Amino acid sequence: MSAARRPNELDLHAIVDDRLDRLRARELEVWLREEALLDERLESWRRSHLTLRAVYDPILSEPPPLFLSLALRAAQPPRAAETAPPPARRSAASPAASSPARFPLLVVVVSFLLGAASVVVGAAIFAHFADPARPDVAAGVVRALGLLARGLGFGS
Amino acid sequence: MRVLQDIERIVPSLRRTAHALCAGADAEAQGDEIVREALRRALTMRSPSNGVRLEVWLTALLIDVARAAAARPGPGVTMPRPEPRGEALAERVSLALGGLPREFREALVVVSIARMSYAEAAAALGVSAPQLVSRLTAARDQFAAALSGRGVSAKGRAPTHLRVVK
Repeated sequence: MSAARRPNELDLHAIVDDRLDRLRARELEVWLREEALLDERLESWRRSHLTLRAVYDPILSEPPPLFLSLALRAAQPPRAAETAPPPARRSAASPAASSPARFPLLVVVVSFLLGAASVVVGAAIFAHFADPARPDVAAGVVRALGLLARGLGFGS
Repeated sequence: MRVLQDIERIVPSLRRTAHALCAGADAEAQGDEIVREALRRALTMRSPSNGVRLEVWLTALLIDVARAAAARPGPGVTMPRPEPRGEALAERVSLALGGLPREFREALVVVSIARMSYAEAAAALGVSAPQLVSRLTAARDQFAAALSGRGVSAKGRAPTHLRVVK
């Protein structure tokens, strides 16, 4: 490429004044055509470069598939022991950390109360059939049941 | 912990590179799969401490995984399936990119799409800087030709002597 020299200052004048010698004129013609081709090539590179980016850049804003995030979360960092988590991270992490913890607690409380209620009901039924002569036991159990229900917010 | 967070931040960029490396075939599934494998390898290694950018290091792993996947028989990463004539630009681009020889595609992807410096790109591909430049030249000529629908010119480079064909 560029076998021909680019036009110098004198060449430019000679072109305008129409006094370029034929050999140099031919050289400059070659040079111009090379320039045009280079220009075309560069333009095609630039166009396809921008097209590539336009097609692939949107991937940056896609959320990565879950299995990639999970692969990272499950992994231990290479030097986890040496580096403590930065304090700024704690505030961001705490709401996410506490909400799953609150749910199991609720489940435990509710199931405990349900268990207690069924024990009381069972005791009441047992007391009623086992000793019909002592209705005060059954009545006491029913009263306890009422208290429990009120405590749970169901009672009147 | 910090390294993991840094890696997590780079994942979208790695996916972009991977999808482009797997262009032509089932780019999305294969791209994500090579990212997964590269991350798996990365997590078993010490992260770079010699000033290498984490993304460059991870991309080098990604390139290795992609090459290994392409070398395996089976659904080829590099073989573009002749799909129904793509009208969509993305599909045409994917086919044109996937149709390039692997080493040309790699050079174009890490420089043009992943925006690495020439030195980083050469390091990630494991080639010398002059090699990278000549691959990039061939890649740009061939890709531009493929995208414009013209056949790839005989040598894939601008003519050095002057015969205007049009």
